[in-house]
Amino acid sequence: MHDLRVEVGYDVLQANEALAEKNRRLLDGFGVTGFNIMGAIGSGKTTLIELAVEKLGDKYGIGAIAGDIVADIDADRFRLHDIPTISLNTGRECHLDAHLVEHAIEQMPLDNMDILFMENVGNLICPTDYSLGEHHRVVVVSVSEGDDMVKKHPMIFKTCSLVIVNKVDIAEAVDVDADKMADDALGINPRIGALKTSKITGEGIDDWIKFIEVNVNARR
Amino acid sequence: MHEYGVAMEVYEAVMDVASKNDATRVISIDLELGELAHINSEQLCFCFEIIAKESLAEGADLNIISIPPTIKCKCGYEGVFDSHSSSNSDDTKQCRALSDLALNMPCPECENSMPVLISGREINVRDIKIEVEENA
Repeated sequence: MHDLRVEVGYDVLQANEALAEKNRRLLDGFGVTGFNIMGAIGSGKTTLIELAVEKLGDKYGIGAIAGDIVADIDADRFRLHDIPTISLNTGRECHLDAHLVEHAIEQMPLDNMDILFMENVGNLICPTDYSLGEHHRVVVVSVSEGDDMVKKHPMIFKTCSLVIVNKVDIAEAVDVDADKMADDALGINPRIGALKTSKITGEGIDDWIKFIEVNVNARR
Repeated sequence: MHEYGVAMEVYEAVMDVASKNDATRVISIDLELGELAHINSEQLCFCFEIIAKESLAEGADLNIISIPPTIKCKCGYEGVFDSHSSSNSDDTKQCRALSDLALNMPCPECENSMPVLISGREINVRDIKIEVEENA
């Protein structure tokens, strides 16, 4: 018997990154633009995706991946819009990763798609470290989470190209300054785009749709 | 929060290399953990201990090597972000300093540009120490 030191050199996050790059290239090959939609539980991620599908469904081929501990509930909402949907039940995991998404993408009709929405598990921490193969990272926060929410979870805002401050119609009722949330995100990441939205009043929804269209068209 | 999943990946990487090298036992594992990775080292060790039960890696020491964040600025400055600066090693102050970094910390050299992070988020299984048969 003797002891031996052996190099391993396996980085968990780099391994995920490599797989994410593979997913990205696959989407590139089919001209599909991927959006990783992140945000806390109940921030309105599913609703914002549904609104995009309603507005853009006639113009673009759209598919969706719903990730959650029990993902079928959101997936069923997407299926009502008659779009290809894969539900990723993560079971115990608190985020989607490139490996889970790889299997989901394999089952998607990429030939007929322009846009892939990947709705992440409701969480502002764990999804931060994991790329899925998306082209754009979007983080949704709702005013009901409190206007110190952004400053409490700075890393995720550093990694996103768009922050959506959602449910602004109830900001007054929950005594929250929606502008502060957007400003805090810009303070953390000056390159981030910021939108304020409400499904009820329709505020900002056109800008959300425009963000998607501009980025999809830019890659065509 | 996702320590169990990460521990599982660490375990698989360790077992892969251990079996390729005909190990009879894994003695220890050196794991580089970035201070900005969203991983709690105590939880990671606990999860690993549970996962490794009744395997070659049962009882192996999981040595966590903490990697401080390194930043690089456009002005040419590159250096370790001292999370213990202007304080002792008090945990609260360290966390405060790290969240300052995650927010907007200007470059300590030129003070007008935002440096980028070039290390400090890794979860890297660097190497393992194994026991092998004498004739292996």
